[in-house]
Amino acid sequence: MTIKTILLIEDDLFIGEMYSRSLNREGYQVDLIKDGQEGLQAALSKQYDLILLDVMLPEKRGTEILTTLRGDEDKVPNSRIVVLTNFEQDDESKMAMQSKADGYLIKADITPRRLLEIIKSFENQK
Amino acid sequence: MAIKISQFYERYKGDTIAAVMLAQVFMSSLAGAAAWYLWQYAGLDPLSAFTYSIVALIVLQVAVAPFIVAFASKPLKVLWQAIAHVSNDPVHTAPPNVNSSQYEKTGLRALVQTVYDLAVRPKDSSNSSTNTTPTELYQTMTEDLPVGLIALDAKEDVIYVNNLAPARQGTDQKHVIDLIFDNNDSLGAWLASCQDKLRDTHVWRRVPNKLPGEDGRKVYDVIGYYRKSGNGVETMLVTVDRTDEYAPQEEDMDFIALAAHELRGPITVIRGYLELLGQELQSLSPEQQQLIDRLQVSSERLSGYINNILNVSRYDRHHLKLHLQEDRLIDVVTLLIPDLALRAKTQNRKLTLHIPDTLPTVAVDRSSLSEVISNLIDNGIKYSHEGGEVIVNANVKQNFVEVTVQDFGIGMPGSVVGNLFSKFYRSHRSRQTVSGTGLGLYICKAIVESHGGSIWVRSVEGEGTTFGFTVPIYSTVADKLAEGDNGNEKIIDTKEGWIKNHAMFRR
Repeated sequence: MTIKTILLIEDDLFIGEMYSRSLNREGYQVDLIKDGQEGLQAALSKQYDLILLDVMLPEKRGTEILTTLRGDEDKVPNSRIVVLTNFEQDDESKMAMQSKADGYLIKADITPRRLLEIIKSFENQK
Repeated sequence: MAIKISQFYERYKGDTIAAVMLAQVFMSSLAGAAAWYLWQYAGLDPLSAFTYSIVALIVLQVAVAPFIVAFASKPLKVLWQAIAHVSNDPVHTAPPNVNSSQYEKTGLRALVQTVYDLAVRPKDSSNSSTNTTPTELYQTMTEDLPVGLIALDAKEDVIYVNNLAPARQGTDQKHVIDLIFDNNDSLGAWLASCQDKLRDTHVWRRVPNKLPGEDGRKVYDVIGYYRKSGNGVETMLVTVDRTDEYAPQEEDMDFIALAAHELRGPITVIRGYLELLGQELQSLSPEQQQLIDRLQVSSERLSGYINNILNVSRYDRHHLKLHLQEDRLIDVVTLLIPDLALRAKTQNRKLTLHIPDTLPTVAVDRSSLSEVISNLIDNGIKYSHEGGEVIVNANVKQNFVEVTVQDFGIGMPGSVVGNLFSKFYRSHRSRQTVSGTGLGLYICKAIVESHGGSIWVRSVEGEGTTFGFTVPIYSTVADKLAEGDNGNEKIIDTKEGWIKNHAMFRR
């Protein structure tokens, strides 16, 4: 599958702009949204190939957003959802996400280039 | 006319009272008549006559008493004889004669007959007139056990739960087990592995019933017993509530997780922007590039230290959960090469890797094994001389693949070697010149041993050091590693997390 549109839900300005800068340079269309509620609305109203989801968001946690998008029914079946977080979650919460998300990455362990590599590997999968 | 047993006593009491009263009246009348005779016809004064009559009364009472007692206690004597007869008393074995119609009328015969009937009835152990049958006794015991008890049948349906079991009624009246098992060590996976066994036992620790933060969260240790049977109970789960023991440790983990999160934010920014700078600044001189490289190496190290701290914290609280999968060592190391090569370059060391791709696959947790390899190579770089070489080798040793990291640097004295894998240990010599948390080797040992391998070090002062560790060859432990619940999904572990391989995942 090809990935063209990316929704990045990230409340930290520096980090958000860092990834969108790198992704834009690579040719992806990036929508950067800092608010969890807004981000959820965007995910439901627009079609994105990839959703990069932070966990520690104000107002609405990434875990809640994931449950809304992929709880009982998959509201975004054509999107890949990758959780990007720096929060060391307990094992149970991580496991709970495994069933709903398509990837899980610790931001401090990757760089923008590594994120690009991982996105490319998604594109190569099907 | 036969009298029923229940009427016997009333009739007997009535008869006996009547008889005794009659006797009393008769005797008193006699005494009174004697007094009257003595006073009227014998010419005695009333007092003397009265006195004589009292004496006569006393004599009569004493004479008649045995006959009255014999009469009143006749039924007792008969019963005594009957009971003695049926209990085979050695002295009195003759049964009483209860055939006369008098006995039939008073009901004594029925009493005696009942005694005979009771004596010959065979001993009946399931007497329904007792208070608790064995079934009821077991039920009371299991209901009130201070541990949870869940029984499953051969179809893995829940057929019994006791009061303390973490289970609830599902929508279709079936019981649902409220336990969150690790995906890599789930109940379903264990039950599947029991299919070709007759018996098995499995212990899970720290199994919660709800996610952290949810109300009513409890943490259990769970013991499973499996015994193949055609029907009925095939699997039993015993759950022990350990919430109080585990709770404080969970709070500590929260603190460390929050601290890590705070630290990781700036690290993410530093690493990311350094990379962007490196890419976007086209006209950097080699010296300037080196500045950027050193910054990058340090920020990566910082990230690694945080992971070390988190893993040490998990390990110390027995929280370290490894996701062991079949992997090739060459693949694990390849992911690390960019970072490690940069480290070697910035510190002017030469990193050489001799990892044959003909090695058998190993059973490893990619993320934590990467941490081990990084730590050891980092150590090799730190303690080497300027321009020194660090050589990584890998080969097969019995059921393991052994990896060695050799440097030709300052080496260590024997006194240091013994303490090397302890927490925070830094020898006095190294403290000034070399940075680090002191946790690296400690967590390496913890991770390697959690894989089922071992770690060792050999060092000669002034000549260099070799670290070595082993990890199990996958085929030797494949059967012990339960199939994950992933089924069709394949989770690819990267060292920074995981991604799903949708080529194998059918939605």
